[in-house]
Amino acid sequence: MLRIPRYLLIAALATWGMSVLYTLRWNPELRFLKAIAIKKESWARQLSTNGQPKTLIFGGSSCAFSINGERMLARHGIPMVNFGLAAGHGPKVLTEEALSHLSRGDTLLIALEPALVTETLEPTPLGIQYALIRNRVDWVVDSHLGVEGISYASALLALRPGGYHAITLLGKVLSGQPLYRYQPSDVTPSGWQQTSVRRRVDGPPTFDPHVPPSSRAFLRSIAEACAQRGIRVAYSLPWGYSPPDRAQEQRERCRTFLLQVLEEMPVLKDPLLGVHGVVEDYADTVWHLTESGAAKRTDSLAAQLSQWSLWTREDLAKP
Amino acid sequence: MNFAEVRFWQLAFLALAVCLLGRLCVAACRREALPVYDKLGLLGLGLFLLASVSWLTFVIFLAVALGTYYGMAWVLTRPERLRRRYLWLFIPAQLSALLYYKYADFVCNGVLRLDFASLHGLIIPAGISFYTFQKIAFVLDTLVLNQRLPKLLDYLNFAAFFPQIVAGPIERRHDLQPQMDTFRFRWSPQDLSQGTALIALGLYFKCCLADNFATLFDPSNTRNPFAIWITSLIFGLRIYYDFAGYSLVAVGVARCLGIRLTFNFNSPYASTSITEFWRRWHITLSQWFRDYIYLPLGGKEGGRWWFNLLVVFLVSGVWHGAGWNFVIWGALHGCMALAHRAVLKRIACPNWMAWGATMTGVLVAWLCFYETRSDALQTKLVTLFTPSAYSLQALRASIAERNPADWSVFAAMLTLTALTLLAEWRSTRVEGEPYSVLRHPRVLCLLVVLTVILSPGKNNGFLYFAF
Repeated sequence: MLRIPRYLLIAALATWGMSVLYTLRWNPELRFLKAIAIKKESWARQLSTNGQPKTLIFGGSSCAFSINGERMLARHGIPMVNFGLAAGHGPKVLTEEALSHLSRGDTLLIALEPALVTETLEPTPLGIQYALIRNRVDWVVDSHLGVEGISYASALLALRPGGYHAITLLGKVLSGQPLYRYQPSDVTPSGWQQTSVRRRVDGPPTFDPHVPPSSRAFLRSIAEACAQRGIRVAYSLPWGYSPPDRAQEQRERCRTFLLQVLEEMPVLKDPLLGVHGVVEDYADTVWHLTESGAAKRTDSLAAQLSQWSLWTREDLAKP
Repeated sequence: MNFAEVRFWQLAFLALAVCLLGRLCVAACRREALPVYDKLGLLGLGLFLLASVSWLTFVIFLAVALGTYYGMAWVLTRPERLRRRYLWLFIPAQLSALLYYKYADFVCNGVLRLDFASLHGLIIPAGISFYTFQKIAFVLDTLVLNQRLPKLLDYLNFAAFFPQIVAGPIERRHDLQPQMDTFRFRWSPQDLSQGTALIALGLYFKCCLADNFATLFDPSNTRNPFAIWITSLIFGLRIYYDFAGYSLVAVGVARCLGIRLTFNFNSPYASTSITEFWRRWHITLSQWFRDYIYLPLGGKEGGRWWFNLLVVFLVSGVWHGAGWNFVIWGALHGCMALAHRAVLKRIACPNWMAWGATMTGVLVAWLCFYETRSDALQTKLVTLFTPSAYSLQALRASIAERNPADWSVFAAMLTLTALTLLAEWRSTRVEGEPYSVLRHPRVLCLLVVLTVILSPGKNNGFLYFAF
């Protein structure tokens, strides 16, 4: 009589088992992310062996596309590793990954996209899967940086493709497209990513400029963790595209956002306030800079870093 | 008590394991105490799971449940001819917590503009709308049918039965109380099989269908009629599979424990009229409104039937939420029900046309349900009813609004939903048993596979928890 529960349990376990195998072994997105993380890790290790303090910048893909570590070193003499990965990881996993490559005297630049800071801090399925393929389940199960951990059971149950991934993957297989749009070869040793894809971009990127108390606590926890470990930290707002007629409105939104971030940690003084309105400098999204855009952003950041130029509340509040 | 969360199942299995271990000890020492132990165990399980939601929820639930029981006990000591008069005091007292937590902010600050800062952002205790209505029904049934008050332990099990406490089904005294009076932990293989099948189907509805539609829901476009229709369609499918999923899991968990709860849904999207829709959508709430508001007002008899109908739908709108959009949603459904009863019922039209008209009305009404910003709601309604807004350019713009990946996910989920709706329709119309096609073992195995693969894994709470 208990045939149905038995069959359902077998179906669920078998499918989950296959899903785990797929996620850990074959998922093209995770394979790409793991490959580039290893590349970035090796660059960070190389910089550390030189004995000089290094700077690590991290965030979602906007960060990966915008900072050219090789240029930073060659032109400005700043040893920098770009640990930009994908916004889908969620802020906690991205931060944990970045913190794991830092030592005393280093500098940490947080370049999380504003929406990543203001939205939920709960670990995302991609973040959980990434933590597991990096053998760092503690990034999601431990309560750290003011973010509550999830249970081991929840972490294990997240090892599944999910509707969006499964359906789009099937579409790519059927239409003969590459299974993932980026390749590890798109990323340089320092972690800077490029793409030959060009798409029309419509800005500005939307986000709610109000930073909720949980996100403030998260930023504060990062600042405290860095202070304890002797790491210098600052927030650096990524550049996003805004058409000229909406640039001012977007800058005001960024200003409101940064004023709240400034209460928790220093903010690098980017006079553009994260709004770069040259459409040719963007590749396939409002956050992904082209080579020329990345060169501008890298040089601008180098100037801010070399002088450790920070916003004061008074300066930032001025319209 | 979020059935889609691993935490709920962990806590429920843990508490049940403790409860059953205790039962083994009791069975070994005092076998004759087992009937009472079983009832205490079930009550403990329910209260523990409720307290795990939040302490506020737990305390308010106990206040409403115990207040109802002891208030009723007192009313029953009064002379029979006077008892009904006490209802005028008793029912408002039962409603007080619900009125305060759910409506005080809207009425004082939204309607009367009194600006009471302390009322802003009040957290609505989970399930308060559901269990308050259940307790009111309990009082009315006890008084009207002149029934005896059950024992406190049996009553508390009726009131705190955990699968249905947070979001229904709103069970009535005559259905649930007798089952609680004789409750024992018995594990019938048939109940376990049927219960597991319902749980699996409910999780497929919620985690596979509703949660994937949730990732596609974007109500930001107010000027493009095609985008508005698509958003309403996504919302309509999402809310149905979300709530029907919850209800099926609730019925399934109860069935595993040997308790039979009412099916809250029966293929509502197969309805060919708005009256039929409400016979199939949130059935226990519709029955509540019918028995405790519509019929006491006079029902369909007399010249005031239209007024009675409109009152029921307006109250239903307000029950769903404190906001003008919910009032409009209720009024819209009321008007459609009036039109159906007064005119449309007499017009013979093909089933497909009646179905199309009903679904169009339901989709327009969903817009009023999810759009809580009154200016955006107004703009969207105007856009929907402006013929010139339906241009080729608008169609192209609505297509360009989402990327090809989003469209492929939407198309795939819509196909899966169409197949599911077809199976629901066949279950009801051909086999005469809700969801019977989907409960076939082979179909269920396929649904479990789809749920494991396609569930997005994001923690989307159940929409009806907000009500």
